Amino acid sequence: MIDKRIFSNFDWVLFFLILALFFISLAEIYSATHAKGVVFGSDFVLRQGIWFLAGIVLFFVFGIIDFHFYERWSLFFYWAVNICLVYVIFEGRLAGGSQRWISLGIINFQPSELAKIALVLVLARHFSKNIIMDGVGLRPLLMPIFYTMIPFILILKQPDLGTAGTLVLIASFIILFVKVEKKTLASLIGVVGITGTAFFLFFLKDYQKERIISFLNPGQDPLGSGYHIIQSKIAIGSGMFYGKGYCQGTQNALSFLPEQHTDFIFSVFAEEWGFAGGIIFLSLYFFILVWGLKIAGTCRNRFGILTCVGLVSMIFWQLFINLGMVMGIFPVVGMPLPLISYGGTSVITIMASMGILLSVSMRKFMSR
Amino acid sequence: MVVRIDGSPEPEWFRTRLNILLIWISAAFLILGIRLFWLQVIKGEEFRKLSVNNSVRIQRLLPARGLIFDRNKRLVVDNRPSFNVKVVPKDAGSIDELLLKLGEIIEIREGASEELKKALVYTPFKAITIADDVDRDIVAKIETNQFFLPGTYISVEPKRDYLYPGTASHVIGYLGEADTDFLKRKNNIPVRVGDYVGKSGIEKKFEDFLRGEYGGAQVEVNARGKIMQVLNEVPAVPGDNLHLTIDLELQKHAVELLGEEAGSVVAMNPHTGEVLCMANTPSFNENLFVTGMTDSQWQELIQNPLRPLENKAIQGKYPPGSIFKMIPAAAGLEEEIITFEEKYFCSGRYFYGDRFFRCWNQYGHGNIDIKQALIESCDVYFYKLGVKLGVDKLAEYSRLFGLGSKTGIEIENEEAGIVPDSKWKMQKFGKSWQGGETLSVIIGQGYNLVTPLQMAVMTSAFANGGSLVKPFLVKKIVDSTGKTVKESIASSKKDLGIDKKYLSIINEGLDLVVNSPVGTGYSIKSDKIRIAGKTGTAQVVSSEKYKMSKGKRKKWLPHAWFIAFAPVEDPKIAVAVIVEHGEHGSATAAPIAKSIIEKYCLGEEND
Repeated sequence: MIDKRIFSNFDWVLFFLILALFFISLAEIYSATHAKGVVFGSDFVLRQGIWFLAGIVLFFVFGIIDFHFYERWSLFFYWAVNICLVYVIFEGRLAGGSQRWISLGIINFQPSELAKIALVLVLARHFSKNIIMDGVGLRPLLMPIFYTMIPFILILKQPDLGTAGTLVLIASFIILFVKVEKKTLASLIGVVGITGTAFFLFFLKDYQKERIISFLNPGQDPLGSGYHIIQSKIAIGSGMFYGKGYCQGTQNALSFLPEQHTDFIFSVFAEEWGFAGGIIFLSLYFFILVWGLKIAGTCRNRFGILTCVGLVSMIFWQLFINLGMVMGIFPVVGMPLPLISYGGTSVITIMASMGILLSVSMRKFMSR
Repeated sequence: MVVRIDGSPEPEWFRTRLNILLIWISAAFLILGIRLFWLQVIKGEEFRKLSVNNSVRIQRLLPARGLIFDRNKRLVVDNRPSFNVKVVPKDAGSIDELLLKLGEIIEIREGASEELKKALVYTPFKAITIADDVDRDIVAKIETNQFFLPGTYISVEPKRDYLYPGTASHVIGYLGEADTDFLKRKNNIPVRVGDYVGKSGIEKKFEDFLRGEYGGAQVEVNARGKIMQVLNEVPAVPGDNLHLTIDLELQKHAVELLGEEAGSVVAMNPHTGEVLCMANTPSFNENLFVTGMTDSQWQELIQNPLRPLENKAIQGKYPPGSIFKMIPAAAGLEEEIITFEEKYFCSGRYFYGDRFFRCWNQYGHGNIDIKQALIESCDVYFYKLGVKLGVDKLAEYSRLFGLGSKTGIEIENEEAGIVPDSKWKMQKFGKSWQGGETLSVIIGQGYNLVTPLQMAVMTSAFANGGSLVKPFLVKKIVDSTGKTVKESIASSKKDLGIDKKYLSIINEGLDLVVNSPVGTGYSIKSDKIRIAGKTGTAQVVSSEKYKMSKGKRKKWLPHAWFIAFAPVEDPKIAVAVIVEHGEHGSATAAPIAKSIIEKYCLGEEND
């Protein structure tokens, strides 16, 4: 069944890059939560460790599965995820509030996370059959836009602006990769701009508008996101060139960075390791993305290439938004740093994606 | 379907596309790298200084809650500044030492030390309130001793002030600390445990208007927690002001008139549904809910048999007694079962089924028509009408006049009352309806239950020519800039479809109840204004039991009702009064209605 050649092609680089990030993650989660008097610090590390182990198993399982399997099942998977999204909305309505996850006994899983992978696969499948080297026009884009809008609207309903927006970014990334005619691109940007404005003016509730406004202008909200940003900037900046040393961060006392072990983990890292560490950290990530593109470059199958591009785009946007946010370039959205932030769902999703990358990587000998 | 791509120009094309992608990603990382360099290398020194002191604090600015005015723009609910002693645990130095020093000035509440120590670990920079609403001399002492009290500061916060406690308590309601349920529901606003939110009445229903918007400030503090500069501030926005339909003078007057009795007075504009007065006794002091009450004060409130916390106007369910007779009168005429000339003979009692049903006047009223039956409140006339009308038709008309359902007034916990009919009885008791029961119901006894507000709405329908109005309490909502957010003129008015000529016959009867010497309400005939009304005496126990205990047990005395509207020619006010166990409507309830009407109508002319 399984071609033996894939094992000789095992992607050690990818594997070690992931292990390196895991190591950083556990060390920083420990540092972020160990603050004196807080007893549950080691607890976070332990739990994250367990998630990582589960993630590595998943990585191998997804790697061993031939990526053609993903192509065959992509549509089915895509619709299954959408049904889960609908279910979550109804379940949430019944519970009298917003809900994002489905409870499976010991774990709660968020279908919106799976939606990212499902969208990547379904778009890769679609474009693998419809490549136009001179760039696509408007008509061939209708189907991809349709694929994106369904989970987008469902996730927006939850409401989870952050994840919904990420879906659009991932899809745009893939669409731009397969090349869009200049004319079409210009008109698309125009249409999106106009409908976006109309949507904002007429369809959003006041509090949602407020959220978007304060999202675009965090200075308006000195208590919430604005406060986090200033604290995060102080933490990062005070690391200076060499950092304060491991577990020596003063800003990470619990009250300053309320989510220092999840979304704001990079602030803790940068305070402790300074610019020197920060650059190494960024390089590590950059290298993972470049490696993902390299896998795409050596692949000889359209679906494989497009899947790699889609997954790279998914990881890229998450880390770019997260790092931009903690450094005060972007407004604050709930966006974990892939593989580093504390949290099971994020680890599992990213590791599954990495497994799919591995699957493509190990099969570069295949031309079909 | 996978397409072979060897040999085609595609691999080259893909390589180009991937290279373009690589350039974009590199550019993004360059931006991140430059930003990191800016923060850590160029601005690093500055941030390092800020981090050494941990000196940026966040302060919440509480909005002033919206004010409440009466219909004549008289301030009824205000805010006053209250001074709270707060401590930031991290700035306090030694908590035990600080509390020792603070203890010389104020009484430290129990558990404060533990709370501060716990906060020192988890939320070291979040201020903890040590004492609430302290006197000005304590404020002065703390200010002068500030050097010895590190991390301690006085925060001035608005506190609710009910200017006329006990006057309109049930309408206005009161505030209380937000519970977890509220916090969960309102997770999009920064309300915290310990914040005061509306718990009942208008305060609760209009919470979202009254609350206002929270503000906040980022401040830089020195090592002792003293504010050095404000970095960024968003001021709190005061809540919207409410203008009630209530006339405070009338409301005060009604409370005085009820005095020691337990009861309720509802007055409204019969044309619009504006509630002019909704007074209930006994009442309570709303301020106690804000300043905190002792356990014995609370026990007294909840154990008092006269139910001071109950808004009797909308929550009290009473048998209506004879004031109900207006409905069967309208039903009989409209259904053409009786005519206005047709007379029935009253001998003082009526034999039905296997027993006699008595009229309140044992000597009988003789041969009388519908108008006279209303004037003298003859029971036998209505017994005879009831036999012909039947309970289901009667129930249909009761519902038409709004009985058996909530009026829909803004405040919560309104009761619907009961309109009994054969179906209701079958569902409730599993037994079929007995003809004799109709005779009890038609004179307002039996299973009938109504609220005083429903009676005021019913009275309004007669006064305004046959329309059901929806009562309301808030006339206008104005935001802090003076812009009108919402205005109600008449929220809803539904024509009942009853012939005007029948209504005017009944209204003539009601007029003569007060203005004819044989009328049951003649004692309150006013020489200043022509009042129409109807008396009611609602038994609470069987008449035998009542007679046996006569005068001994107040709780067995019947409730006294009176409904009225005036002036008859052009009604401006409709009133419903109930005095619990007040015995006779004409004796206890009617004078209150008269006084309310005179105050309102004549007071208005004086303006």
